[in-house]
Amino acid sequence: MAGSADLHEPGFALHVEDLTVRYGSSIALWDIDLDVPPGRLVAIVGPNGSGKSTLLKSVMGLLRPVAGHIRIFGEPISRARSRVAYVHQRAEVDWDFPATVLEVVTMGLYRRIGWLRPVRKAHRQAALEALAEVGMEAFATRQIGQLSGGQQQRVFIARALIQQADLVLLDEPLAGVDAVSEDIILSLLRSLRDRGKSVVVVHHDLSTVRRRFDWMVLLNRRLIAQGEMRDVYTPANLKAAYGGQMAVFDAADADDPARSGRVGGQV
Amino acid sequence: MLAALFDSIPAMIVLTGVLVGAAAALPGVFLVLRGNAMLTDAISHSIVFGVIMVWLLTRELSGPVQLIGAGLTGVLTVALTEALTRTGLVKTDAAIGLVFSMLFATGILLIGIFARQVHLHADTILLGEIGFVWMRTTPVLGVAVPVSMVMLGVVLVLNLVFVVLFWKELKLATFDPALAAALGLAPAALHYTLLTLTSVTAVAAFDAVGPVLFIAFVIVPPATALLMTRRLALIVPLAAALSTIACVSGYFLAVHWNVAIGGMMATMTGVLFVMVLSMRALKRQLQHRRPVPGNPAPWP
Ligand SMILES: Nc1ncnc2c1ncn2[C@@H]1O[C@H](COP(=O)(O)OP(=O)(O)OP(=O)(O)O)[C@@H](O)[C@H]1O
Ligand SMILES: [Mg+2]
Repeated sequence: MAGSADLHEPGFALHVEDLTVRYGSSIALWDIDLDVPPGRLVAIVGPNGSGKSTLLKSVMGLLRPVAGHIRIFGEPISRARSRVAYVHQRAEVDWDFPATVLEVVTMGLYRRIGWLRPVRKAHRQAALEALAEVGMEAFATRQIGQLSGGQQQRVFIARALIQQADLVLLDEPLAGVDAVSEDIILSLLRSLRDRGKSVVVVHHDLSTVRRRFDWMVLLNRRLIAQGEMRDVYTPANLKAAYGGQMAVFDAADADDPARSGRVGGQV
Repeated sequence: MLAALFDSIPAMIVLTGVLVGAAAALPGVFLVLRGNAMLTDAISHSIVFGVIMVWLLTRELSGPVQLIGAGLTGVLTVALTEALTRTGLVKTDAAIGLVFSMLFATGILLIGIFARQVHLHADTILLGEIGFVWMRTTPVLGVAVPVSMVMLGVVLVLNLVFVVLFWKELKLATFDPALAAALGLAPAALHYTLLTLTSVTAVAAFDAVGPVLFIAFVIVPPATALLMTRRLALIVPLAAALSTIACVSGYFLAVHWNVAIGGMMATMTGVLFVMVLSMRALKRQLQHRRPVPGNPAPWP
């Protein structure tokens, strides 16, 4: 066990310092400093290609940064793997893979089950319970290729829930999702937050972000702003993040999401 | 009785084919699911280079040293490909093509230069000669068993142990490598091990079917099995069963038509694939004509 002397910024669910990430010669993230307090529902917002997915992948240790460091509850990812769950974009896997919904949810337990040990009945039971939480228990034996986009996303969320992590990272969980799934997912994320978990969500829809999240990180390769939603969600900040793409946004619309358009969104 | 089996040349030829099929299907299922089928192509071509290099160093074509030495060429192929891709100068598929054709060409050149001294022929090297596997035997428990069969048997057990032990890790690393990495389950190490086993299997199958026909055994039966079932645990035995059918029917057809046995066996894996594919297409057409109201659409 690591002594508390090893911890760096343990007061934050997520602490990012001087982070620079690049792919080949193109820089995706430049000198990011970020602190996410625990128990928040956080939105990461920015235009397409602004490095949102890159940020989450760096946090999970899937990319090697050029510079900087990241801590989860004060620990590097190598020591915090069991405290953090990650839901990547839906399109990153092949949904034709021969597996049932239950099998995919059980995958969230593979770390806890451990190397060389088989999946047992208790694990499948836990997966069924996670499926019930996302309203998908009736689909347990179905092939994953036979699900709608919203149902696929709920399966992924169940797979993250089963990990019982303290920090949950989700990459565009609401993209291309039907209204029913969206409601289920949002209320689940809220209940996670209400139980003291920290939830960080990449979100693409500026018109809804204000109502749904309480902390916001604005990104465009550099960090534009971070903090309480009401402090960060300002026309000046949004303009700084979106620049020329901001045609649809108007300060008067800020309180009326129905009238403001989707910016930089993928539907 | 066992000795009688090993005295029967046809039985040994078919059994060798069955061993190739079963040993190849184990890594094959995961490679096909990952979309890495062409990497198999690259690996099995490159080991020509490995086999001739190991032969130059040891003057032996089979044995544990040869198995591992030549098998490492497959890994070298993958490592070189990835290094080349990482430079950002070429795309992955181009890198694969560059590396394996270079190694393969070098291997063929070396065979041309040195093979006159021994019984190596480019044809045999490429396609193997399953019809002659019975000529080189080694005693196992007092029975003369073809060397090829012993090597394939060892590799089959190796592959089986690996796939059974790491079943769930392989499944996750194949379906969702990002989650596997996030959970700390070393998908890259697993993938490399899988590729190493594939090249070792290719080396073991070298005498029997050669690298070109080997590809058919890695890719086609798993791809066929995938069309027949959606249960991963069934796909592996099903692929092995398909290989067996292809080997038995391929042997008799080859004898009947007096054509190359290994080639006919590989052809039969393709014939089975086309049969399963047309059966599925037919089934789907029938289902389309009579939609059952209220039922969810059948897969896919
Ligand atoms: N694997 C990769 N190789 C090279 N460049 C990449 C790779 N992944 C992302 N990029 C580039 O890095 C930048 C940031 O990408 P990233 O996917 O993090 O953006 P994003 O904010 O998630 O965008 P989106 O809203 O479209 O999902 C983009 O310019 C993208 O083209
Ligand atoms: Mg993204």
